[in-house]
Amino acid sequence: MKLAFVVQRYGLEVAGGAERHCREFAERLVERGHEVTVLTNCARSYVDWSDDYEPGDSVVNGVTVRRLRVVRPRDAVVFDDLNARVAWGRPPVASFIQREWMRQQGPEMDGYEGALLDLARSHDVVIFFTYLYSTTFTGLLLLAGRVPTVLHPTLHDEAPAYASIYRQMFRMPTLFALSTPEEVELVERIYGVRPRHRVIGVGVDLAIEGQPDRFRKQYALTTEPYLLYVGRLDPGKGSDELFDFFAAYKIRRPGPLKLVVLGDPIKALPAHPDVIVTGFVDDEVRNDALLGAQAFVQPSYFESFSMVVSEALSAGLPVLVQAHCEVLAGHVARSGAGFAYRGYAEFETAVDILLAHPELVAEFGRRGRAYVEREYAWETVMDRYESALSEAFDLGAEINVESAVR
Amino acid sequence: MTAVHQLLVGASPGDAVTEFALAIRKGLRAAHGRSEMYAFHRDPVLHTDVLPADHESIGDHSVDDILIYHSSIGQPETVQVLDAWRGRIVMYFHNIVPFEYFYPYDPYWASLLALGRMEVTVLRDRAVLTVANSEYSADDLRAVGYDDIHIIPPVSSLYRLRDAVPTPSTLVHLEEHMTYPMILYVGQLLPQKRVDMLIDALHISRTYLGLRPTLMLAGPGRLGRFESLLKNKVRELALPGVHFTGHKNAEDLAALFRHATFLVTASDWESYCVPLVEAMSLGVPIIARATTVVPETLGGAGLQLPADSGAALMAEAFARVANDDELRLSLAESSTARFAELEKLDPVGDFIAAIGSVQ
Repeated sequence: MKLAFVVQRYGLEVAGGAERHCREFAERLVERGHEVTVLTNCARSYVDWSDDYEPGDSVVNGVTVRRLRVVRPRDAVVFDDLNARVAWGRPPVASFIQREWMRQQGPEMDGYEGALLDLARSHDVVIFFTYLYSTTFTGLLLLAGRVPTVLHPTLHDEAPAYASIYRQMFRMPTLFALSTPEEVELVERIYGVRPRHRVIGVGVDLAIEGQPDRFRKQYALTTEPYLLYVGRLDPGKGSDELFDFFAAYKIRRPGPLKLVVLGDPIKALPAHPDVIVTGFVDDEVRNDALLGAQAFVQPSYFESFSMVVSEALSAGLPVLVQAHCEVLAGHVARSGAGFAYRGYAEFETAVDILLAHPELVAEFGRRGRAYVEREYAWETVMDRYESALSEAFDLGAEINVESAVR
Repeated sequence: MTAVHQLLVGASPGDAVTEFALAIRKGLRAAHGRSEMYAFHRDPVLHTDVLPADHESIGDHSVDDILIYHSSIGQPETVQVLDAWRGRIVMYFHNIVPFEYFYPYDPYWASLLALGRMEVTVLRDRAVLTVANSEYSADDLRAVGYDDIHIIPPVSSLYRLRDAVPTPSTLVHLEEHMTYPMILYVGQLLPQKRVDMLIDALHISRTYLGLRPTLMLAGPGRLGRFESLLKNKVRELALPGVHFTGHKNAEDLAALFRHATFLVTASDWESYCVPLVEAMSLGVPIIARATTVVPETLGGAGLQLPADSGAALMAEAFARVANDDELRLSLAESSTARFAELEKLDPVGDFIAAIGSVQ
């Protein structure tokens, strides 16, 4: 098939779960013989959408990437205020305010609508990633009914998701590609629609290799056990809470335990002698860190899948996850490979148990591996995904693309 | 001795017309002895002080007696009462809001406003003395054939708020919880006051000009449908920082004025605008659209925006005044200077002197 992805950022250097998710799928579809184009922009950062990449077409790992310039960077003064008002205001917030919020959120791209229509003319299915941004909002409203569309909402139970502007958008795609059973329920709960969908998930590398000693040496660790967190240092991702919990744990349980944090800071953590913050690292360092950790912690309240958790499970690590996030709690419930904690007391108890019971750690590791091998081996995931794309294509067969895009 | 009475449509404490009538009565009683106030609608607080406007209360009178009619809205019984009055009539025209503003929200009230304009025309030939509250209002009277019009603003106490002790708890609350700039509007929430434009301007200044303002709307609603419209507008804009305080007493108003960064009015239509005078009495900067009587009341004070200006320009003015210390200071000085001019006037004395000229 000729497939087009539309995503708010794209590139080997782009951090972000949904963006990586998109790139993994695009590249694997190329490996399976499909022709894949990605429509995106030149930005690496969603904070201001400033142009980093050159505009125009390029090929990244076999995928044709078409980059448009961002019309203007995001103005934080304007956007942050509107964001707070739309996300936290008492609904219904006026439609024009929500549209302005969407425009200010961006990314607004030069020639976007024309480029979308070109995609629709020349591709079998157009796939949108992430519900939140104007790329998807504008794009789905323009292309729905003109070409089969698939939406990966990567939906989180977060305040902006409740903006009524999305209710219409969530009725537009031909098919939804969802990450977990919890996401199906969330779409229904927020938008009052149970759309045609497939639960796809995200594949994981089952052969995670690395040298944990290399990581220990690089960051001056000897034999201390450490909890590992991989992700943005962002209060929205729960990193502040994790820091607070860990600092409290260290006061109540003095000992050698460390917290290793791999990720770029949106908001830096305070200095702490037992907290090691590396900043963004490449896959090799991340794998080294994974293989040497005592357990993996995912404190985020807002996840639609959490690829880092599936990777940790693949690496045989027990996971400690935020129980307030239904998706994370679902992974733990289905895998039986760790604990979902709700508040400090449960966090402390879970860490105590993991430190005191190596046999349980090993059992959790085995269960986690079995879970990801069963559900998230790339071959399995891509088989499901190809089948879903074929279904979308078939569902869209009655669309007369030639007349629809004129 | 000639008696000089006053007839009002409504009398309530704090109302500018009522307060001025009370001050006149005090002066008249001192000068002439007999003077009463009559009103069709009386606030219970004034039941013993202001008499009902009916034949029984007004009772016997001579052809030399004078009845001052305060014209501010129509009342179906007014013409009957004035027809039955055998004495002389003085017209004090406070002006009447164009009925079109009220028609969408309260057609009955709109009809009373229209009636008030008709009464003014009907009474023209009976008035032995005509007073208007401003040049602007005098022009309205001239348009229907009045001449020889005295201009006397209805200001009985220039120092009402300056003399009031600000409520300490209100001051502390404002200082601790209100964001800068604190924009103050004082007045009833009525359509012609264009409070809707203030809300739009607040939205623009917040969204696009980087302000995080507070808007205090200090005044009663009066028209439920219009007040609901304003509150819905604030909610739909998801606009933080807008406070509907309802009616406030002098002490709370004094606190609001003293904490305000500036007073604002976007009003389409005013015939005097007492809150402008109150702001000037406290040296508070003013931003106002220069509509109807506003330039006359302000003289050279305040930042006066063109009469046809909209919310966008108003928002620019908010940002400019909030961010420019020098401009704010010069606006405060212009308020104080204009107030010094107003202090030289003696409206109550002028009014009583005018009455004396026809006795």
